Amino acid sequence: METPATRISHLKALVLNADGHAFDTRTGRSYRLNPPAQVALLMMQDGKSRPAIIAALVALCEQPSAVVETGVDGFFKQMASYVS
Amino acid sequence: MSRAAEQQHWLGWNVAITGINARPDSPGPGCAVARCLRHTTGFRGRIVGLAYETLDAGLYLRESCDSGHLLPYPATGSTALLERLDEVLCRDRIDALLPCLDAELPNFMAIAEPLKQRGIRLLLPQRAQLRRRDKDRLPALCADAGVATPAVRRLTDEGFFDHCGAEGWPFPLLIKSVFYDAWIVHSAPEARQRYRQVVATWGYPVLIQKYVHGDEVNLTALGDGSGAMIGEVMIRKQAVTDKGKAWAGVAIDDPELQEAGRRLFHSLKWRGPLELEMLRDAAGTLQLIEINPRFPAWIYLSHGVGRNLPAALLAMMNGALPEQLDLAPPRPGTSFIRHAQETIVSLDEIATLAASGSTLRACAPASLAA
Repeated sequence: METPATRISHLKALVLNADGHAFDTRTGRSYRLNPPAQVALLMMQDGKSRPAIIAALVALCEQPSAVVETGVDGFFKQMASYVS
Repeated sequence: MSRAAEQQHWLGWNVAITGINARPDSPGPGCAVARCLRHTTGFRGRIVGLAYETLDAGLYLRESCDSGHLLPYPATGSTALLERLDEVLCRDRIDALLPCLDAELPNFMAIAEPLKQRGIRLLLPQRAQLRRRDKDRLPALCADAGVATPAVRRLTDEGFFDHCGAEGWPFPLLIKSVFYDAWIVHSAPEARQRYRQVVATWGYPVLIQKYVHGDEVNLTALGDGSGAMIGEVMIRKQAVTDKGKAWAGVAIDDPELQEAGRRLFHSLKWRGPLELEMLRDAAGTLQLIEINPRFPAWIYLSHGVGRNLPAALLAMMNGALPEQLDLAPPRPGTSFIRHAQETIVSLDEIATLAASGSTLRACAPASLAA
């Protein structure tokens, strides 16, 4: 998965608070995000690419790239499913 | 401010509100409209509750209504309504009237001019506008507005349910009256039972609508007759009663819902308050389910998000232009949770109302009853 299949306007409708609670102002749905997912969401909202998000999380979480890639791709799928 | 000047500005108006029934599973909007006005900064007017049943809670809730009066049922017609309002005017001054129930609107439209002559302001749609949003006419309206809606069919024969699948109407289906109530039915026997229930309660025709599964989102706003949509407030229902009424909801800011609302207001050239009930189906398409020609029961949320629409409506009735209204930017995320609580009513209060039709004991001339 190269790029998240989620429209940027839909991504920007998500408001994330400091506790990891994300509220979708467009649909009224709420989500709970763990810290790596919070970083990924903020970077997606900034239009950052998948490699850039993976690189940032590898450095931040000190995990192997393959582990982070799996997690990021799973997150993209969830975003495409719930937020699109 | 002098008494005369007070009556000129809507903040000093006495406002009559209907729909003050407050059954927890399906409350009328009236008490919520009253609360919106009570919480309007500077509002000094009295709120006059108009009810159809002695057990309508708003009659006894002083935080909602300063006084209350019983009205004849809508089926008795506009002449009886006007006669009763004339009696009410002997006891309470009324400067503006906000009808909050669908079934009473035709009567209020019929007596709008006589009421105006009595100094009572109303902001109502025209009869043709009201008719265009009838449940059986939604497909035509939506085709004009470019908004999706499930197919609707009028029924006068319950035998339809025995072969509806073959005619392109598979179960589940929604069965509705032209006024209130709707049920999802999954089989012919269940459909027949609900069909008979609708006929017994509301009469013919019975409507069936293709069932759409999805998240229910609602929009309420005001129209001034120009086609503009004013002060829209949007919610997603988070929890509903058995009757599908929201008991919890959250404000949203959905550009697609807003655009659908804008198109419908433009097509209808609506005057007054309106509620759109829509479903977002599995494909993400918004489908219009119903249009209610009044404020919704959740209208108190409009105060919560800084868009007090009942107050805005009174300001418009007082001549304010849309750009002069006090409407905050959307505040998505603000929620409401409805709850039920008991109010204590003395025997004396019930007896006064039952005997006189009003919560006020003395019958004073209107000029003294303000």
